[in-house]
Amino acid sequence: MPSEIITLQLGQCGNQIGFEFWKRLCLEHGISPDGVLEDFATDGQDRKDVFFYQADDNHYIPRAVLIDLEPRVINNIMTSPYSKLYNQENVFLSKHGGGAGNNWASGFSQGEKVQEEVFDILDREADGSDSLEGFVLCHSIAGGTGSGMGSYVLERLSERFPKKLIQTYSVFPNQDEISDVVVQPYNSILTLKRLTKCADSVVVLDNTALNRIATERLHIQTPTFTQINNLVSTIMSLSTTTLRYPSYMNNNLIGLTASLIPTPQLHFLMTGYTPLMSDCETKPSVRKTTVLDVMRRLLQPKNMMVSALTDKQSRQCFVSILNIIQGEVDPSQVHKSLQRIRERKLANFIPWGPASIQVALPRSSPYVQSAHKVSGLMMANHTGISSLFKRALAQYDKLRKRNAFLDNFRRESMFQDDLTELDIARDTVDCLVQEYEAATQIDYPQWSPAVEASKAG
Amino acid sequence: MSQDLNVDDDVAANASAISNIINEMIICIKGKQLPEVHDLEIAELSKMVAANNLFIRDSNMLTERECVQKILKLLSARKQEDGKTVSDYFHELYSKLTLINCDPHMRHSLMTHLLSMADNSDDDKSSANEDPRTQCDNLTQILVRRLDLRSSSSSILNEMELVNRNGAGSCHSYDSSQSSFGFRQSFPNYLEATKMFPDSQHDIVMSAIYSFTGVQGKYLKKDVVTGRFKLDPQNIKFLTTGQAGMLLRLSELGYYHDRVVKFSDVSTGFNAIGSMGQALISKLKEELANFHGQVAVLHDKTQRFRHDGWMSGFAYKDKDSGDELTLFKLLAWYIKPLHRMQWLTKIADACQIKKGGELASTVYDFLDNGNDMVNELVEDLLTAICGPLVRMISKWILEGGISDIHREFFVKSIKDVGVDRLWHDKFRLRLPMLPKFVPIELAKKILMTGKCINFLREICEEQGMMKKRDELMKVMESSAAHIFSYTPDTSWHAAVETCYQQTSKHVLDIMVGPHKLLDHLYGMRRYLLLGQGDFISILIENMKNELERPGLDVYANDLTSMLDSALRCTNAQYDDPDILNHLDVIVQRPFNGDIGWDIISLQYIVHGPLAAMLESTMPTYKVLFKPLWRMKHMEFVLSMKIWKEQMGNAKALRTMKSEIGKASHRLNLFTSEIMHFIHQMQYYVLFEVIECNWVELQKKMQKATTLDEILEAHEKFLQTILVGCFVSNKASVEHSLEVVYDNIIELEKWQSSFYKDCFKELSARKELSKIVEKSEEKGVYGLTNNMILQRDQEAKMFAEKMDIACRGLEVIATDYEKAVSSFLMSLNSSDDPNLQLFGTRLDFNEYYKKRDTNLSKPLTFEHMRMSNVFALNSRFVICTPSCQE
Repeated sequence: MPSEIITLQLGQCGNQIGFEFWKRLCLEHGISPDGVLEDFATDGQDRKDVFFYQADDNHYIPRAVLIDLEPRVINNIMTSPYSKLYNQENVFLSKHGGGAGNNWASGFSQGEKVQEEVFDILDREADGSDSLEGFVLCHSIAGGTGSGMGSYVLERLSERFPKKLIQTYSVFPNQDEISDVVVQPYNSILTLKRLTKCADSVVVLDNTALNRIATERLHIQTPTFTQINNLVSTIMSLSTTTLRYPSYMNNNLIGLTASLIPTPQLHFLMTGYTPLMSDCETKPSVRKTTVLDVMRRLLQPKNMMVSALTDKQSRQCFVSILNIIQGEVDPSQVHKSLQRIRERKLANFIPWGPASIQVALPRSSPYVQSAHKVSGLMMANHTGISSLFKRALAQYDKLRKRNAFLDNFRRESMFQDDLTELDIARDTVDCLVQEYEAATQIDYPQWSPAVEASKAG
Repeated sequence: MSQDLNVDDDVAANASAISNIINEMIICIKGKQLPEVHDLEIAELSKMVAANNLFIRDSNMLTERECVQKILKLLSARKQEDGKTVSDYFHELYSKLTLINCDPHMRHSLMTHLLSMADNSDDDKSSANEDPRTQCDNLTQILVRRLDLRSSSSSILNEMELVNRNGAGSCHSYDSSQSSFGFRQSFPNYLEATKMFPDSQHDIVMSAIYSFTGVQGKYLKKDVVTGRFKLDPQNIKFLTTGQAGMLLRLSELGYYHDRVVKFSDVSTGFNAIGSMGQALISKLKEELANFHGQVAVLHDKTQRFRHDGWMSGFAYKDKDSGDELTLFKLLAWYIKPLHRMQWLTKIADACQIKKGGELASTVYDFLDNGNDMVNELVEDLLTAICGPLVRMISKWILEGGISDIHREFFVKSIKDVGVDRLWHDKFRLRLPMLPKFVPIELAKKILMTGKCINFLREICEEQGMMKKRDELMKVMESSAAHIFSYTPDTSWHAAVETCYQQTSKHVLDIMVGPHKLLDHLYGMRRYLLLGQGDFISILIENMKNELERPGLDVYANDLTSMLDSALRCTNAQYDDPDILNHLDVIVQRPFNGDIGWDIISLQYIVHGPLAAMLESTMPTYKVLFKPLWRMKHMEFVLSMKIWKEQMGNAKALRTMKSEIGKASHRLNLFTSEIMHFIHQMQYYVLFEVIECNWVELQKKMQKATTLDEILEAHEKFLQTILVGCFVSNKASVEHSLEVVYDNIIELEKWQSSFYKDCFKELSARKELSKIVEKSEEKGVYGLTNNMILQRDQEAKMFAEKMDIACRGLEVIATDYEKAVSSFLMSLNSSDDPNLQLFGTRLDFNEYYKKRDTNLSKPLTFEHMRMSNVFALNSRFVICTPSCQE
């Protein structure tokens, strides 16, 4: 089957959001929790084979690989109604089940140890697809397994499948609350390096912003993981609708991402979603949702899933935007809305090249009833995302200055001798931040990455 | 009035004296008669004199004096009876009369009458001596008639007078010049008149009656040139001026009768033609036959009267003399037929050499007449004319047949057009033959109905007859008059509408149902217009090797299997196999230098009924496919090759970042610029142009009640898209687009050679470091000077190559930018607001505008004004030749 995408779920967070994602996909495609096509789902307009394949008995199996170093989350999944959905062979649990202890280095080295088993699974999946387009990795960058083992898997993936796209959905830690994971800044920086170097596109899911949206916009006092993951799964499923409901454009991963990412490094995408609405709200507040409204709201920072500064005063600007809009849309409204946004200069674009808002209008699933007339997801490449990295750098620097909490790292072979890996990672992230800074300037085309690279080297 | 009263007084005073004198005068003229007759005559005369009949006087042109002289002359010719001549005696009496105080007008009238009496009595004596009663016939006749007219039928008389006065030079085309000519002619003859036949009155009436049917009589002859009746100069002397005038007036009917006869005679060439013309002619003939019947009755009556008169003798005259036809009676009678004949002439004249709808339109123009008779007459005629038309229509819309040997039906079938083009070209409207009262919409419906029936029979091979066909036929053919009803709500209109609805619905059902027209249109939209994006990208992916091969090495049969596999493994697999079977990939004959991309295209093959519908649009699809395919080609090159390679190689070549960083950074940004362009371009064409219009089309198709609505909407859809896809646009737009595309291909070539060099260098370096590593293991310094030198040389060469490559990239980038600028320029200065909007969208963040100040010009007011002036001028130039024509 064509343009298949294999999903890797790593660690606690990765498996949780992955689980929500598959739940959502099953709902949208009319697939029952045990993989059987529902009777009502006879409308053949959707393309299930990008994310699913069919077993001999015709039931649908996700192209998903579940990896974790501790069994808790995966066991939860395996005892849920969806347990029969997954291919049991694609579940990898480390034998000792001890997890990575929120230690990147531990995760990384454990990844190295189990790589053969993991890549057996991946190779089998890759061989099972006609023309594999790429991998989607779900993980968090703060913990141990998702970040550490995720980093290892990323490195190996890009080596082993140099021609395949690697996209990640990376959950960034919540900055507003004090984390119980003290080494989180180290984990983040080390993972960010791999995301910068090995991934082709990274969809940033910022827990800070997600939590803020949950409390401020959805009025949930203490948002649970499920509620946050719900948001995440919505974003993940929406960002893949053009792949699953093909129409005239953006029908493969490369078409979707190529126009968003101008240079190999600037591949961190933020997302925005509207209308935001919680499950507890029984009656949807009556809002007028036209295409223009949706597009305008998508440009507002408060609807962004990234807590980056995007106020108008800053020089930060959009490199590219893709709006995926679903619902009752009058096609002729779209270009009027675009025109309006341009006239009012609602979006600040890069000065060094042509940029604009792309719009995709995929069909929406006939099996999921939406309360909203129009809903939209924005995938944007915005230079403001660098503030996220800056924050990570600042936190890292704070710890690194004191060389705090490095004992666990030194225990692993990678950091036994020295901590250069940490410094290299920091340089890479710093370089990335500088490139994002440079991209706000008109002379970005003359900017030379070589200088940074040499400094890093 | 006062004068009249005086006269009456005088009459009363001198009544006895006058009556005595008149008595004597009559005896003088007539000789001794039967007392009854005599008394009657006197009574009449005196009555008439008392009434001072203007009519008599008016009808006579002679003065009183002349009358007297004439009488004297007449009387003097008679033999003397008692020594004294009658004329002398009359003269004596006349002198006496002049002495009596009486109205000169009255006297004049009296004399006039006496003259006619003398005249008649002369005739009587000379020609009909054997029948003494007839001697006084004429006089009695005249007197009785006048009495009648006076007493009982004065209204008729008035009417006649009115008519005659009106007629003397007004609308009934009573030719005053001719009648006055007749008078003038008759004038001297009358003076010379010496003889009168006894039954001339009858002859005159008969002559008039003959003339009604165009037959020449004793007194009326036809003018050879004009065809009008004129008085026979030989017999004119026997007529009084009044009779002459009346005869001429009556003969007018004959003239119009003749003309109608002429128009209804097919051999003259003045007739209307075609079967509808035949209908008119037969109707005219019917009218003529009716008229002839009426004339025959008149004729018969006259003859019978005369016969009866002979049979029953004198007594008869007393009782029934009122029944006899006279010219006056004829004058009263002839008004109606004349009117009718005149209108018939007028209509028939207008219909000369016309046929079909034109004929019907001509007659229809007469319909709106205030005169009831005319209105009815025209309606009759039009109903007759429309008879064949209605039959033709019902045959056409019920059976799809045309039997139209005269080419008068407003639907024509073109013989040379084959069955394959039946739907679009075979049947057309023949507009000149479209009657005025059939609106064009109705005509189109009628055309459509028959076309549908033909289509069903010929192409869909459906034999089913229409429901209630016989009933409809009956309704339609029962009343031809309905067709020209003012309000189209008659049973005929309803029946036509029913037929139309039924047939077009039937065709629509068949096309949409078993033949899946809408599905096919949707199929073409998805596969030929690239609506099914996943299918196209997989197809390209499958055929990627073939597409890049030189054109001569591409074989269609290889491609077919690739198409099939692309269909199998995308969402297309869920499509109806019926639709998919129509999809085919074709390979055109390659020109020099063509590669697979240039010659491979998709095609939709249609057969049977679908072909009849869609064959005409296939070339348009072919034309449309090309730019779309080209765009997909560009997208493929850009994302699958250029961008993907960049992403992959960026990781692989990371170690060489310092050397190639600048070049690859430029390359990345340039690629993203092109990517933006191609994506916007694709988005515009695929979404704004095709998808938006497709949505419109779908709405129309759902609403459509007839097939033609769907086809028309589809046609319009294609035309709009043609403009939107930059086909059939200004050449400059197409050209700059082509340059943009060429530069993308250039870039791809540049990039592959760039990366080839990079990887060569990379592997050389790896090789070197391997040697170093090995030698390190051995513990010896393994690099010879030669190797280092060679390596340095290579590195230098690579650096030079990179420099050259950078310059090459700049050349491509400059060319590209120029092309984009000129493309944007032509978009911005386009008249089409959609293209202008597209232009602004391509430059959403005003990147190009800032770089090229020219680009903002088209949006300034000054430019718009200038271009408006230009546009006006050019329009003017275009208009002039047509004005000259």
